[in-house]
Amino acid sequence: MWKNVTMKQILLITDGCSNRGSNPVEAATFARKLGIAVNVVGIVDGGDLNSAGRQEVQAIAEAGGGVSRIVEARQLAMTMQMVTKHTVQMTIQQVVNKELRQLMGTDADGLPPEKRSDVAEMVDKLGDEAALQLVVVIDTSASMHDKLPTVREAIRDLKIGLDVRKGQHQAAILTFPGQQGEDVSVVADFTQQANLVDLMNALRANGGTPTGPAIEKATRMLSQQLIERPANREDDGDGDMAAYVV
Amino acid sequence: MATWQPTWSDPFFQKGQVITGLWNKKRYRIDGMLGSGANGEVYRVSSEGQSYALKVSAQAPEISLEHKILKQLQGVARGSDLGPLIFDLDDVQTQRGKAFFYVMEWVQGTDLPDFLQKRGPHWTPVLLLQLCTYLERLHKQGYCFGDLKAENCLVNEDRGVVRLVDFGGVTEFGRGVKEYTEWYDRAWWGQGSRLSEESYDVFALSMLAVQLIAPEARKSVQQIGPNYSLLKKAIVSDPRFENWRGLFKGVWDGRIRTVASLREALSPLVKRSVEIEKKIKSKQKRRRDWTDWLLLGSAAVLVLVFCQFLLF
Repeated sequence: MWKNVTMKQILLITDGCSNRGSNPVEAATFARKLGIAVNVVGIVDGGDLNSAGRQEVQAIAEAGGGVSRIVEARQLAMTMQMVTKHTVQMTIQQVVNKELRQLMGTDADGLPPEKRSDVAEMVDKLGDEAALQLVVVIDTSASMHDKLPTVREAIRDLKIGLDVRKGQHQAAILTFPGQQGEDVSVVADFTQQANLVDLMNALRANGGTPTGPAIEKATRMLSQQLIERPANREDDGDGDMAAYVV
Repeated sequence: MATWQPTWSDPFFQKGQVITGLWNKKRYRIDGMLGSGANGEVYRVSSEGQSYALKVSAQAPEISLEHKILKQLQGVARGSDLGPLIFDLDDVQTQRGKAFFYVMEWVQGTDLPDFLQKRGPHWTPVLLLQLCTYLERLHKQGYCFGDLKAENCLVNEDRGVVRLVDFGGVTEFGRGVKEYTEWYDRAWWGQGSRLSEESYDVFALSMLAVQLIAPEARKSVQQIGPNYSLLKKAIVSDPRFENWRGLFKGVWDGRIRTVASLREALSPLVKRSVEIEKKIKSKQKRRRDWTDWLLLGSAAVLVLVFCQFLLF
């Protein structure tokens, strides 16, 4: 039944507080309403991720129903994959917990530890098989300049990780501010088969941090797909599972 | 539902603290931290006079899945020492909220680099051969070890017996490897996928060999990034790899993709190591004999001198 469901995620990578355009926390709240989870990875070294920045990172993820991590640049690649996988599993776990509560009056954490592993195994398997649509939203404000090589490496690593999943995946990449000074630009959209690493090599870092508009753009990209999708879905005997995935 | 886990957060437990499992009510005293990683922390604990290792995490699924795999290995390979012995699985209330843990055998030993420093580099093939045996058994169960690296191996200093200690990367064949480390990860080097299969562990084992033979290579790679052809060139021209070239060429041209073929390539190296060890042993013996005579001689002189004092 999970084969028909597409997990939708935004993965935001930033090293500072937003300072241009709409409120990113509100943008994340809106994304969540459309069934899109927002994960945030904050990078600490060298940047200006002060306590306001940290709080914003946490607030965006919380509003977007995702997870947030604050890490050093060298941990970026591992962390990006961890939060992506974690959120896919959390989404499934929430549905499973709902059913468990109806069946046994408890969620998975309330089961005895030995029994819990069977549930965990199932969730793990489903998470690997579910289709995933991911928009990676990268902060390319001036302070990110030195970190862009690390981000490139992390994107390459993310792709390696996504390639071994059983489920299908599509990934798009946005930068904010955009490469021509606009709020946000699309480096690669879902359909593009081009070499991500080559595209990333062309990135330049400068300007402010319009985090809110970037999340809004990512949300639009993911929700367009949401509107188009029902047309090519015929075998829907299990009911609309997409309705569960909120 | 957002879980907030800053990387600088306090550890789960403090030394000296006593914790009680919520379900099984077993009590453990925290004796110190053994290590920490992305998915949890490992502590040395004691309960009823016995020492154990305890792995704790905020993620229930990670802990219960790892426990299940280790339990399964213990059941199948009874009497063997592939994985640590497994005991309790429980939940615990901590200052960071509810956490999940399992208790296992506390495996003690020396780091591989320290051991080789003391006993000589000729032990490298012997250690790798032992790891081959473990991997073969694990693969037979349908699992890949995944995060094979020097830090996840401990060796008994007297007997030279290796044990694997962190099973967090163990992944069912056909899935994406759960945990890995760049230097040992073939995908990072651009030499294949991160798919959990036998050849993934074989590549990691070959990188462990490089790490043990030429530890400084890894440092230079940290600066220039993964460049496998450069690494190959370094191996071909480095005299320390003289006897290893057959093995590495096998890994490079795809002849060595199974543990069995790797073991075969290791066997002449192991034979040579045994010869070297024999020579060292016999030299030590000779030296000991000579010092023994010296000791005995000086004792005799002392006794004579003492007797002279008594007589006069």
